[in-house]
Amino acid sequence: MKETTGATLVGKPVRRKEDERLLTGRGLYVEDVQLPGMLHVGFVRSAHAHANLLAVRRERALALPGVVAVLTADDCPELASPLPGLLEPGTLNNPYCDLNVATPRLLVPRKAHYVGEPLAVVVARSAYEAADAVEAVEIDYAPLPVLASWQDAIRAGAPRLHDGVDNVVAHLKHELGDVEAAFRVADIVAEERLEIQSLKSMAIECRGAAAQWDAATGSLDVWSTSQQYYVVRDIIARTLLLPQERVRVMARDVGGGFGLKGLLHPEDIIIPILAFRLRRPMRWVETRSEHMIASNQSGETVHDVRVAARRDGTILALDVKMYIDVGAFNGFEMVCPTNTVNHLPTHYRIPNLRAEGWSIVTNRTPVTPYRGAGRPEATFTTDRTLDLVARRTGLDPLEVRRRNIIPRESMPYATGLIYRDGVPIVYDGGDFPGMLRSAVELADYDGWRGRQAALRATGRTIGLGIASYVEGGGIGPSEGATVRIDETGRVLVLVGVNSQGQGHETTLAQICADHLGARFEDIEVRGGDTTLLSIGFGTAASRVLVNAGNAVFKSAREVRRKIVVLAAHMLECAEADIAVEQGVAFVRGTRQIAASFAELAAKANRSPMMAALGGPGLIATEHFYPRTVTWSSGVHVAVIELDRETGVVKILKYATAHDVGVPVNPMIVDGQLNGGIAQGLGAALFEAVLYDAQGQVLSGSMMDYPMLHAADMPELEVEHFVSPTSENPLGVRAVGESGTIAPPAVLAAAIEDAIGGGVRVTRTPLTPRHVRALLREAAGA
Amino acid sequence: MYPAAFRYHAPATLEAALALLAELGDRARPLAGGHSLIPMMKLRLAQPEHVIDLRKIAGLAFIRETDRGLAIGAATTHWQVESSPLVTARLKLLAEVAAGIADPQVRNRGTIGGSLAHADPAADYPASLLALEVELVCASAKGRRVIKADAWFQGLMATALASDELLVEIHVTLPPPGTGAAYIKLPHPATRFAIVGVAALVTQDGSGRCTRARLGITGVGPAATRLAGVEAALAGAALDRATIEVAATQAAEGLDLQDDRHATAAEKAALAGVFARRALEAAVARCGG
Amino acid sequence: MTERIDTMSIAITINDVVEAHDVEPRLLLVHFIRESAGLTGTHVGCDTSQCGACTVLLDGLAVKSCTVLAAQADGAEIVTIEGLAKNGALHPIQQGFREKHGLQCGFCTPGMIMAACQLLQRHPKPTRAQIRDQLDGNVCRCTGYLQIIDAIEWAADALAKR
Repeated sequence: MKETTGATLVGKPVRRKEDERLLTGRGLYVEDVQLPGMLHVGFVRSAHAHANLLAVRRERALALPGVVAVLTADDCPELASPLPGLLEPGTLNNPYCDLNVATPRLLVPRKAHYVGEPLAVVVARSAYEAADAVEAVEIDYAPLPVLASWQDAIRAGAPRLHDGVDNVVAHLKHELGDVEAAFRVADIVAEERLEIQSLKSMAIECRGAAAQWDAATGSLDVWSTSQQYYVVRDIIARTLLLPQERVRVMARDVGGGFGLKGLLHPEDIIIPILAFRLRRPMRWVETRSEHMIASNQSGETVHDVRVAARRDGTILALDVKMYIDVGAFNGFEMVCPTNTVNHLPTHYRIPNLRAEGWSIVTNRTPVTPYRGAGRPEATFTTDRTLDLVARRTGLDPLEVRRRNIIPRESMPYATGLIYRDGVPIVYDGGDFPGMLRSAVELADYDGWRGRQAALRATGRTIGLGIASYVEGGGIGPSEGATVRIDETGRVLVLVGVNSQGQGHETTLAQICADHLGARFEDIEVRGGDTTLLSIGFGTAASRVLVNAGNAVFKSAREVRRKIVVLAAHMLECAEADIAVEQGVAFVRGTRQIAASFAELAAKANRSPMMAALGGPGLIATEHFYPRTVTWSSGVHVAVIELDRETGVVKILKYATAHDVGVPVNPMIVDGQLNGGIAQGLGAALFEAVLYDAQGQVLSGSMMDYPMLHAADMPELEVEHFVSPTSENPLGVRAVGESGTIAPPAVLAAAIEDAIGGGVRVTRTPLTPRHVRALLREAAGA
Repeated sequence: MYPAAFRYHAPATLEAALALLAELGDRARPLAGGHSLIPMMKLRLAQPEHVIDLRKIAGLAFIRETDRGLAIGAATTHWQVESSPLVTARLKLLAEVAAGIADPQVRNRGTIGGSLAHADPAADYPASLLALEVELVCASAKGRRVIKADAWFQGLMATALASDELLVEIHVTLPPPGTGAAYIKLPHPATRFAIVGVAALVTQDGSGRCTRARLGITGVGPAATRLAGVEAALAGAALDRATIEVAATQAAEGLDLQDDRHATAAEKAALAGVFARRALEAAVARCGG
Repeated sequence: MTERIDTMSIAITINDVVEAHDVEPRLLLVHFIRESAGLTGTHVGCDTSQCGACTVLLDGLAVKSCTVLAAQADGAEIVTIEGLAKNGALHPIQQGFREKHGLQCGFCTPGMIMAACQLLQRHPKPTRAQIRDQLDGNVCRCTGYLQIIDAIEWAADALAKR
């Protein structure tokens, strides 16, 4: 399988290479970019959710100090260019989606579709003066009826948001087994409506872009916060009629992404257009207030769920109708609801399943996948439903899970569903019952259940919850990696993806060190620059370590192969006698007969041996094409206490068992899980994007969008399971989004368990106000 | 994010600052710690033509003992109050209130005077200043005047401070010896402002009867106010659990409660009672020192 | 476009270096540090004085530099993240963050570390509860805080040993 080269770094908590610059304030984020003669850009944003633009009056703004220009699409034709969706119709092999309609979108439109949409652009000497200009631009609107919610958009007689396009812009449907037959024979049939809120990325770094046109080389340099910087390059090139090689997009360092720095933001393209047209360097960074209205968010989702079960608690069928608010434009071909369908089974046998979903446009900020991307919605649905069955049968929620769980012996397990890459889903390992047992024990579930009634008698309101998840991660199509050793012996690893905190410069170096035989400190990993590799497919969908990691593995091994051939020749021995460790190739058993990487690299430039080894240099570029995604999994169990008078929730215990396959760097795995859990808890308890009936954003600043602080994060009891996947040589599964999936379901269950009185928790967030309402409902019952 | 332009002044003396205020009136805003004013200016909710920075004026930040209690300079920061051995020894309640304001960085800059002049309806100090006996000393070019705390808070972010005046000192009378005091709040999860906060000071005689009760509430209405109904219900009563519980039910009396994002008016009434009760229980537990 | 705007001369010592510049009175301290002095390690993450990414030490106290006018810091001494490491050697707090994976994207990190400087000055042997409480002015979206708390505990031990 995989012979490594002596000491292994994979699996060790190696300290991160990127920390050196980030800890000393020497990162280079977009707002740090300083270009001589740089101007600053501001955006005049729509104050209305739906309106025609009658006039843009700029005289006052132009009279202000430091203001260089105020532009609309009328002044600068490229500003009227289309902004494509990231995944246009037909991009994917989506097996369920039978309708997906493009909603044409312009960078700077003449009509407002959501509050915050950019309607005019200002350019000024400083960001302060740009802000003055933005305030001074006057816009005349002709307001139009607002589709403030998806319900508004599908009501009979609702106006169409886009000409010639129905407000239902996408549809999917899938059935597995025979759902209606199952419902006919079921002992228990239940239904309810679940509501999942819209969420904001809230990366601490907001979005931004900087750009500079270099007349001497006829090229455009762009600094971006995007997670999809190759797509940004392609759209810029297409818009400005420049060859792709003349547009360089750099995206490093980036201060958090979580999905929402993926594409579909007009500013990503407008800033480079301005630099090109005005022949001056430009920079723009979003303010947090702009982020709250203009940065994409996840879509508010409603599920109508029906379940059929036997009286022994086993599930016969699940039927889910999904209504997804995608905001003003359709750009992601139902990635999230498709993920939801495919993540519904989690750890349980669902023999009959039907799902149908509708993407609906509204006058809200456009929607793109946020960390989790439909998976939290799946776990919320399945775990709430299992708890509903528990209630109807009188069984403990833990017992219902035991009766439905997929045992180890059933692996590999085909769920009957098809991933959005078109490949049938098979869980290739994982010990679901083991993880359930582990999390339950870590949380002392039985102990707390045993004490619950007695504690209630002393006035303490305790509740327990369980939730399980799987994470399909590591989707293709592919990633590449170049591994090259230079004549000083340094190893350069080039990849076509970038990091927003995941530590790729470290984990990919660990992989390279092990499989090339290099010293960790001699390796430098570089990504986030379109000049490094010809293409990459984005940091999203928990795909980088699986794809780029295995590409690095392949390239490292190929370079090692070349080293062995070259060294055997240089050291006059058989190839089988060559060992490669710590940057040196030597004859096994005698380290005296050796050649360093530096010597070998120098040799590899001119040696005719390289004719049979792919050309000059110790270099290889390999690509990893995953057959399909890998499946990580886990179980979360929580014990909470409620303050009945205020509705405040306190987490007493939070236990998790999880399996991410082979952990390349356990410290980084823990970090990904911890951070994901913090976001999941925020979604469970506090966070929500809120609108009023006019489409105005009520959650307009950090003050109105509470996130977890240090004091809110519980200590975690964690058990790690390791079942390597057979889907890739490294055996790694994805971890990026795992932490976010279970918390909303687990806290919903625990709070419901605490409140009692027949009350059902069917929506998040469980703010104190929501909890107080549930407590009143229980008291009234 | 970016304040609008303004003219900046940093007068070296109080007299010079007051002269500027006399001339400019409400075209100027005084700047102390800046943690109420600057956030408003960054969102352009405030766009003063003139800003008068008080940083160079000596003698505005101090904590002194007086014959009645404590005198605190208006420019004293929350951290200075929080960490003052004098305040901790003489009037622990105030140190605890200060320690719960916002976060450590804000407390290093925010001042008691700035907070009181700004009068955010969910700020922490107002509840306890109403429950204590407090006088606010204001200075203008015309001289000084003293305003009792009860007359200070006049409405939503409205105080008795005139546009040509500066708040310069806060005089606190120490409660009678043996008084128990506590401030309990329900903090907003994002800002730590008080969704509801109640400060209670309770004095009892040797037989456990209440000889004095003063409560202030913040967060639920447009301005902080006393809980007169609760105070009346406690007068002369035995301070046992049952009495406190009944007294607390009077909390909503006279309060101006409206529905908002945090709670309905009915919930605010209930929460006022809950926190009155919790503050009283904590205060009574501290009676006797 | 009218050109003339009123500026004032301000001198602030940042990491022992005097930075003297003519600036508009409305210039926020964080922008003086980042743009006038070119020290971009201190970051801006919000506009409501909540996230703490802009935290620096001002005359020894941790403050949110986005909520201070540069003019208010005229004549003051500032320490930013760039001023912590001495002669290429990381400060123990920086080391702790590295040892314990207290950062991921790194954007909140400079402010978090400067807040930790004050935390450990005031509480040299903090409990985890005290650390959580004293970090209330700093928001991190990546780490979930637990490894930050570990990092500060590590740093407290390291400082105690010095």
